[in-house]
Amino acid sequence: MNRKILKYLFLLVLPLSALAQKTVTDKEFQQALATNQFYADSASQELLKFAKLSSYYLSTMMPERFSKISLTYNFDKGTYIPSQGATKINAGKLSTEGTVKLGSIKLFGSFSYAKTFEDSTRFSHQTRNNTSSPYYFGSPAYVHYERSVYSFQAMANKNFLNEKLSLSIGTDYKVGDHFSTNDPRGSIGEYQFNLNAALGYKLSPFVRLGFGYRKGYGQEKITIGYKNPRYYESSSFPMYYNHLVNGYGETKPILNDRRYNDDQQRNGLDIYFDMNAGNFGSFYLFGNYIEENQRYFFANGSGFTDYSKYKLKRTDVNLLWNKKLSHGTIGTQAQYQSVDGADYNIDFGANNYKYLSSSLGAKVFLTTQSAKSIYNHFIKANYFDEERIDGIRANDVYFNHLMLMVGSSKRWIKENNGYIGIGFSAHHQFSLSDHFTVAPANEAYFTRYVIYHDYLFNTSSAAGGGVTAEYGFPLFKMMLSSIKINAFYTQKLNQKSLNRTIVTTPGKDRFSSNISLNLYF
Amino acid sequence: MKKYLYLFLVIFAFAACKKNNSTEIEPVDLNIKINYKLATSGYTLPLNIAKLKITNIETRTVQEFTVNDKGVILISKLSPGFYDIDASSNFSAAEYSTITGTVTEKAVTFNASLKNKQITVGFSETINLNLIAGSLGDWVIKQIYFAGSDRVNGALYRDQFIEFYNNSDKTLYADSLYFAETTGLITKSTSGSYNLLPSGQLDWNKSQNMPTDIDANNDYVYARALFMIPGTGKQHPVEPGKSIVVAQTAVNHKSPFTGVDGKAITVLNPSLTVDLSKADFEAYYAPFLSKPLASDIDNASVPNLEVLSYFGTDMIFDNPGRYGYVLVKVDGTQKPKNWPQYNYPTKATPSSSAGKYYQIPAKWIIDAVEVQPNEATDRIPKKFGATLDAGFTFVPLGSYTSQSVVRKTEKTINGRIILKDTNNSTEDFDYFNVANPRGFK
Repeated sequence: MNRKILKYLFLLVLPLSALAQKTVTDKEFQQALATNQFYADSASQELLKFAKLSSYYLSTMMPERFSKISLTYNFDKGTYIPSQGATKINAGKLSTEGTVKLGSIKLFGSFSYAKTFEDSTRFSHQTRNNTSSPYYFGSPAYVHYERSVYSFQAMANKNFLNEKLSLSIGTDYKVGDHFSTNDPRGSIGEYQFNLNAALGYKLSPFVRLGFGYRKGYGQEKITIGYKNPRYYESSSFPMYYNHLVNGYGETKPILNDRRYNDDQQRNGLDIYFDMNAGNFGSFYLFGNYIEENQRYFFANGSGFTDYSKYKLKRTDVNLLWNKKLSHGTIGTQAQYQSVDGADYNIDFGANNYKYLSSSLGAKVFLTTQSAKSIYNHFIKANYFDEERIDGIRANDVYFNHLMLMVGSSKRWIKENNGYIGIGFSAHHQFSLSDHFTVAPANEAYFTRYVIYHDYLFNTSSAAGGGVTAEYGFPLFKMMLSSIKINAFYTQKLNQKSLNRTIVTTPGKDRFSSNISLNLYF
Repeated sequence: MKKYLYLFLVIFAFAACKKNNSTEIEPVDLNIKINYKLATSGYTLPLNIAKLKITNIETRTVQEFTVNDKGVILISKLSPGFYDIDASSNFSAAEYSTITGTVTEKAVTFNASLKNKQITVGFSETINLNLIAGSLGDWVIKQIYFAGSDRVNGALYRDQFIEFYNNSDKTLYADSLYFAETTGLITKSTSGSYNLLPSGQLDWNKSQNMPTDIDANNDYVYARALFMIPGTGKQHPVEPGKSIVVAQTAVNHKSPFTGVDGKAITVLNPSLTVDLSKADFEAYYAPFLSKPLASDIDNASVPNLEVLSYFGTDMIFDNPGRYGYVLVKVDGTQKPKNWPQYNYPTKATPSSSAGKYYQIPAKWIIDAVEVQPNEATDRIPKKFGATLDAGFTFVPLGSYTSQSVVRKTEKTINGRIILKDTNNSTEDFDYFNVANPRGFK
């Protein structure tokens, strides 16, 4: 491997290294400008987001070269949250991403490190990326969680046969450490590793068809500890008990053997269809089916003890259409996702828990730009439904809701290529229908703190808005940088009444904000 | 705009409708067959007086059934889950004497139990329960204070005690009474290291050097600690309706005392613990240990137990309640000190330094009480068969909560309290919120 290859690989994994370059050229600044404009254009952003779904799109939907580094601080506060959410979140994130072309091979790489502090979260010793799981520990007492997550993503693409055939591979790897700092002290180690390979073939200059295969592994390793042994040695402190959720109903106390592993294996197939319809723009259709098997168990010198099994089937269909206009781009992005989860409950020797959700969303976006300004506008509708069923406890809770969102932003470009941007958005979410079957006889901690709260949260209506401001300026004559502030506010409008023993309800509002320093080169 | 929204919803509703939202959970029809396990076929006992109780461990829902002449019960539409299944038949002394021809002065109870039985979807086996009459002795274990008191505000484990009661109408002598804390599988997560019975308990038949011509599981129990009450034979009389209290350390734990290291031992909240200064016997381990426990002081006015085997640094009962307790009375043919000792039946060959446990013949056990942790999920497979204790008892709040298990009062005759003894500690025992030596419930 020659030095040039090494340099590019380094750039892929850690674009920060670009800062160390000594030679400043106008070419590099022009590159930084192009990258910045790429991120300023909401249509490009939709394309990038779409392209990250699979390495298949690396060759056609990602720029030849761009690099970005962001340092973000996030602050969320408010009690209009699901039962297992956090009333306050402080989070910092360092992320980088970029593409580069190395001969005939195109590469994409990204890296991020996120550190999150969550205040007042309950009944959820979980990683937050497996929320449909039937099997986890939790307790009614609030705990403070700290999470560190490192994520890496890399993709490569090479074309053959006169660019007719494309072969691409992608991988992402995530490793995380999550722990709570007060009793009951959850400690969760996780890793996720996914690979995908895709083959695309141009049937004509305008139509490309592709297929892909996905394989993934992961593990979550959970242990609950206590500093104060009184919390698990007796039932005098039930709020601090370690409860085992196994389904969607009342829990069992697990005072000893407070640990398990969740091993995950994924297999999936992709199908791709791209069409360049000339004046009608470009269409990208991506279908994906993934089956994930989770095994909850514990292994020690005595052997394996199985606790539960969980199978998740996920179907995604994504469609992107975009069309270049004389001074901008118009496009639509639509997605459908269906998630079907079913456990195998070892105790009952059968499937007891089901998780069923679907979402359907559509977004229309328009970007217009001139030398002095860029406008981005969008309108979006998202439908989401979810049903959780626990057979043995005869619990069945279903809800759906629709969220409508509209937003607009403008960027004023200055002569030195610096800029000022400002944007607004508004959203309104309302419930369409629901059903609620929970036997009052089963009512105890989980039912009161989680099921009732979530039902009230998910069937409530809310509205809010957001503002965005960004200031961009050239830095070291080789890159563009920006400081961006986002703030969102959501207020609950209506909440159903539930004639049960209510111990916690969603609060009235939620405020979210972030500030980021971004470098484009 | 509105029609597009409806179109959007209709398309989605079509997709959503295809989802299967039924689980595989189905109720089970459970068949149970009850029989008597009798030593002789010279008589038969009626099955239709037997009662069956089935308790869902998770929901604690109890269902009771009567049995037909053939001892067959069909429980329809039972939810899958884990169940305690208990059966019992009670005969008055007169009834039993009439039917069997065996003269008895006490009521006789036959018990059978199956604890923590998993009933899965599609379960189709017939559960067979064999009713067995246990030995109902004059001595009974009356109270066991194994939980200890609060770690911070109480006395931790040093205030533990056990109480034995003369449940007969004649004076008994405590001299040479033996008692043991019995062992078995106590940690489910280590079960893979042992040879196990189908019940999940240890298969002692597989212990190293265990004779092959004995039933090591049903005819014996195994002691983690074995003690004898000293005496010359008639040195420690116990009148009818009276008891003896055996303390870990016979002091008033409510008040400060000086430990063997010269430091004061105090409790922050005396109401959480007990006064054991009037105990009849105490355990004193200092002679065996290079570094005795500071709280293990020797109360000169309270006789010490004879310790045949021990575990730990004092007579410290397992606070969660994972062991069992037996009271043993032998005749002159037996020398318990010479009873054989065996290793745990580990799959791997035990090392030469591995612990060995006294093998106590069940026929010398005059009372047995199995205790279990308070939470069902922490319970371990039963160690005692129905001849010793068909059930188990526990303190509802768990470890270090001051609670003790205490045998219920059945009746009072001429001022003498007779404690309930049906050989099923689930039925026979209640609990004290704060242990109460010599107290009644």
